This record gives sequence, C-alpha cells and structure tokens, in this order.
Amino acid sequence: MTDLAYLTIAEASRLIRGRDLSPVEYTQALLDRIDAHDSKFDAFLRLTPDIALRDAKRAEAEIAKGGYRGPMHGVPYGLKDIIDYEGLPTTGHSKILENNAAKSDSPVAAKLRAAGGVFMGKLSTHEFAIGGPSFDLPWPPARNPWNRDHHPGGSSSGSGAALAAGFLPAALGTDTGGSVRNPASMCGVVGMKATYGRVSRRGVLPLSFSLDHIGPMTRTVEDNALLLNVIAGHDPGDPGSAKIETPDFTADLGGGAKGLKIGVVRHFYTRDETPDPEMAQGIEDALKVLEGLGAEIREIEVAPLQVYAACNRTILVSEAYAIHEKWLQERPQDYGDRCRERLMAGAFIRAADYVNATRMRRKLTDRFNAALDGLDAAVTISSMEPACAIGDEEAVDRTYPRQARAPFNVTGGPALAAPTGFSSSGLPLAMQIVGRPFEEAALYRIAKAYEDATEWKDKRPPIDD
Amino acid sequence: MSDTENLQSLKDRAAAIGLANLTDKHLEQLARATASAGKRKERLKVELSLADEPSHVFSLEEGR
Repeated sequence: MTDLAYLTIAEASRLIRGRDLSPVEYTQALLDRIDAHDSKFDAFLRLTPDIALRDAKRAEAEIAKGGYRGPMHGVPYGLKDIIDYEGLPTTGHSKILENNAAKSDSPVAAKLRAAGGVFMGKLSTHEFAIGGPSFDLPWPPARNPWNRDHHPGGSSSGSGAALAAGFLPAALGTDTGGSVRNPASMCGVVGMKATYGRVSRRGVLPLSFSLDHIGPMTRTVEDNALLLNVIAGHDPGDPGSAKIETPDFTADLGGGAKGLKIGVVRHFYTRDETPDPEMAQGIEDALKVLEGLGAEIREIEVAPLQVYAACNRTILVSEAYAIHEKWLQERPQDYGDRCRERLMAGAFIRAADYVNATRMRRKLTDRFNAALDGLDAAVTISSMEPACAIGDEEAVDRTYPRQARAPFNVTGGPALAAPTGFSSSGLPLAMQIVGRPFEEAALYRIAKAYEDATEWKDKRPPIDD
Repeated sequence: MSDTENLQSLKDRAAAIGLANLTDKHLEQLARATASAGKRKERLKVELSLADEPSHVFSLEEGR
C-alpha cells in the first residue's frame, strides 16, 4: 500500500496511461488509507468516496477506449475547502458557511474535472483561510503527519497534511500571506504561489482580493509543474486574471542549475529576524548544493522583512474586514476566536492608511524586481522555525508575524516552497525560491535541480510504522 | 482612564461602525487586534511622493 500511497503524479500517470495501474484500484487504495489514518490527522473536512470512485471508473473507461486526457487523468486530488466544487458545500471551515452549497465549479475545479482528475474531497483549512489552527470550529484542525502534536502550517493545512500522509498526490491550496507555502514548508512538500493573475481566483472564497492566489501543492517539483499546467490560464471572469499565454511549466525542468545566477535574500533571516539555527542552516546548505551544481550565488538586499509584512497585513485585514463586515456585525459569535480576532484587526484601519499601504506596495514591488536584475531567481527562508506544537497558542501566534512569505504576496511574483531536510526532532525544513512575474519555470528548474541532488522527497512520515 | 471606561469607549466606537453585538470577550479581542494593527502601521515606513500611486490603479482597454 505504501507504494501506491506515495506515487507521484508523474509515476501514476505513466502507469495509468500504460494501463499498468487501474485508477479505480488506485483510488480505492487511497480511500482505504484515508479511512485507516485520517482520524489522526483530520486532513479531510469532507471525504467524497462516491464521487472519487465515479471519477475513477469514468477515467478507467475513457482510457480503455483510447481517450487518455493527460497527466491528471485518473489521478486523485483534493481541494482546500474555500474552493467551489459544484454541489458540495464550500464551508471555509466555518460555522458561518456550514451549508453553503456551491452552485458551480470554480474554474480551477472545472479544469481538474476536464483533465480527468479524481476528486477525493474537501480539505481542512484555517477558518476563512485566516483563523487557525482552531479547536472551536465545527471541524477539528488538521495535524502534521510528521508529528501529530505539531501544526501542519496553514491555512492550507489539510492540503499539506494529506500530501505528507500519502492520502493523495495533488492538492490545491490558497495563499494570501503564505498559506500554500507554510503548510508545504511544515509538511515537507512542494507548494507554488504562482504569479498573481496566473491562476483564476473565481469561485474561491476571497480573503483579500488583491493578495489572494490559488496554488498547486504536491510532493515533488515535477508534479507541481504538471498541476500548474492544468490550473493556469486566463479567465475573463476574474478581474485580476492576466491575459498571458500559459507555457509548459515542465519544459525547463531538466535544465539543471549550471550557469544560473541565483540571488539570496539573506537579511530576512540574519538581520531582520532570528530564525531557528537548523532552518537557517538548511538554506545555507541548499545554496551550497546549488553552487556545487554550477549556479552562481549572489547576495541581494531588499526592504526589511517587517516592512513587507506590515504592508501585506494592512492591505489583507482591510480587504478581509470589508468582506466579513456584515457577518461580524450580525453573527460575531459564529466565528472561532482566532478568526474573529484576526479579522477585527481591520475594523479601525483608516482609509488613508490602506491607500498608503497600496502605494507602498507598488514601490516595494519595483524595488524587489530591480534587485532581481541580472538574476534568474532568488532563494530565501520561508518559516523561521519548524512546525510548532499545535496546542501551544503562544507559539502559533508568534510564528505568523515572523514568516518570510508575505513579501511575495505584496510583489505578486512567483514563490515556491521546497523541502531542505529535517530538524534534529524530525520535522521538515524548507526554503523559498522566488522570482520575477510569470517566470515560474525558472523556479521549477532550480527546485528540480536541487531536489534531484538531494534525498528529501524520498523520506516518509512515520505513520505506517 | 480606568479599564471599565476604556472598554466602554471601545464598545461605543465599535457600535458606531455597526459592531453592536460584541460580547466583552469579543471587545477584548478587538482591543488586541486594533493595538496590533497600530504597531504594524508604525513599521510601515516607506517614503512616498505625490506621484506614487496605489498598486490597484488600473488602465482601460478601448471599448471597455
């Protein structure tokens, strides 16, 4: 079973296409695994075995008739439960929307359906993608498969946990201040926040219109590029969607790191914040690996992390408050404590402060993109420390303002979190690779070169022991 | 000003923007959240000139 559980999309699709793996047997094996283990991790908020087996049977029949659609055909995936899937509730993990049935697919769900994916269910999130981990909601928070007493990161918590636990090979998360990259970093998987406008946000519960992104989460870099290939593309129904061609994100995966010029934003974790030493060392070791592969590493300087973080948060809570104002006025008791408090941070922000934050955003973005001149991409830290204990409220609250993911929601450029090893306590370590707008392929190329030179993707959490 | 007066003042401010259904616990959360938003504002120091426009200023296409 472990073998099927940890198949990559690329491996599964080769087997399925060659009719050496039945999508129905594959799906059933994963459903059995979820049944056996998810009570420990609560990755799924709503498991949909009937839909999964229907999709798998359909895929199997189509492929048998020669109608193979592509790498996701017959391959299981899950959606963070703020993403619409027709006929199912999109709850946002909240009592507020407990019975909020989606009338139609979000464009990303429609694309996965058209690609022949096997929908397994809705995955846990922080309440409305901001308030968590919380124990006062209708569903429990997801837990980290590497150690269930630890936080899996958030807000796309269930997506990260499900991937690490071998419940599925593909999941979508969303990212407004780092919510794809945080669970990827904490669960030892790969998470991409593509450029703002690359993936449609329509049909997804908004948190902050100008900062929200939908992102692919997988266990390998190649899988991530394959999944982005499916969900990317212009959507005229999303005002933020970019009218730009979608390249094949796998095209440069084999390019290696030789000759690449890679920046490092070291001051985020040496001057601006004090990280866990193992997390920082993981990044320095990764840079040495990339250098050994022939990349040129050059330190760059951008604005202090705290400035980006303040810009992100001011915009985020202002827009989020506008979205949630009516419910906060009428049903404040129906939010969990953590979500309510985080949303209310926008209650008294002055209009001038919000507008000035957006003016600063433009300057910060220009400064960051200028720092990338002559470089293919840059590396920096993602989280300052490995996953904290999920029940340690102070540690959870301390973690969020210190992370280094929010700058790239401010700039809108692509940012990918990838594993760099494990702490002495056995928890995943991670780095971020960031780049210029619409240059996701460069990030994938660097991440793949590093992944191929290391062994991290082959490590498994101890849930089968 | 006493804690009771502060709480009443916050309650009045909250009610003025429609947050009239907050319990004392919710008001404590609002107080903490507002304080942390204020601290963030202090950290958000980027020089702006009159020409620096918001990031969401948009351009229109012909006919739309």
